[in-house]
Amino acid sequence: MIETRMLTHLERLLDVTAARQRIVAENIANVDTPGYRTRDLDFRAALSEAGSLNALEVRGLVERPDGNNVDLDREGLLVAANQMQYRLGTQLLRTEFRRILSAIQETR
Amino acid sequence: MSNNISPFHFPTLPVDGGIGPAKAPADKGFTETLRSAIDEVEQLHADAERHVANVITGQEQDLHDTIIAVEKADLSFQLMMQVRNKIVNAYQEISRMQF
Amino acid sequence: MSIFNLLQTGAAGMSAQRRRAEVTTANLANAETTRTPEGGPYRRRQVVFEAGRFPRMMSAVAGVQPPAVTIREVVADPTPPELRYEPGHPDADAKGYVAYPAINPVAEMADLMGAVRAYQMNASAVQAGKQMIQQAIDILR
Repeated sequence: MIETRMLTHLERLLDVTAARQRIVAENIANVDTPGYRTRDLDFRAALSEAGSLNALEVRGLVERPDGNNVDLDREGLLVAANQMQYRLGTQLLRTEFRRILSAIQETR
Repeated sequence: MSNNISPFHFPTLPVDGGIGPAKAPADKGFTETLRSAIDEVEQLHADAERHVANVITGQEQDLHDTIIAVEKADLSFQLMMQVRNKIVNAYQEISRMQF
Repeated sequence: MSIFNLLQTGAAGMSAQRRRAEVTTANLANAETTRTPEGGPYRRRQVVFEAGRFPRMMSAVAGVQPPAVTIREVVADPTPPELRYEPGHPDADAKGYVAYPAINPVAEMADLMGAVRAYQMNASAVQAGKQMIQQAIDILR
């Protein structure tokens, strides 16, 4: 089977990072929606094999009079961080695939 | 041709789990190994096709899942070709040995 | 949900913020408008955001996700107009008072800047999504 531990980890990393980025985008889109609460993944838990990709409410954010607690600074940082993480994941994945290919093609 | 030729090693990476056709340890015959390699290829190819179809209909979870499926299908195909080439070479050597 | 959903979410946010900017700009432009076709001074308007529902004129389509955010409606501010004593004004009433819109240009300006910033953040999310798609494709490079 074309499968290594590294591959499995990287696939999971990409899944989780993409899922988190979607949630962040929703938060940003709803910065002015009355009553909307910021959501996020439990990132570390999500990374483990059986981890859930469900979004939970984020605690500790300041709430405005209309009940909305989205902080654009926080979400903006997350967009950038997720993006870099995703890029790292895809680059490592490319390296791993190349490694597998050269192992296959190694002649004896 | 008879099957009592000693089988050769498949490429494995020392650190991680091995790469190669699933459930085909080195002491099985050639045909078994090739057969599992071909099965692998078919399965991964079908996976990749399914992913690509999902992208087109908009049902795909994430694009990277499709890319990874395509790449795995391709690699398993490469592996199968390597197996096939080695078998062909082995047979050619043997036929050269006949008097 | 697909990674393309990220782009749609960002686009929905951009749309909503743009609408908010339009309404705020109209308020600014009409801060001193004392006469309207419907009669009376211009009334300040504001948008109401709503998460995750199809807009009213659209029925739900099977398998299609609703947009992440929409403008549910544009409402008129019920605050009564500001009366200023200007007896010579063509729109003055019998007592010489003119009704002006209850619009504070400074507040509208702040609102507009908020809309611009939120619009840019949504655009960043879209940009990030596009880059992620490209990076996924580059795995095969």
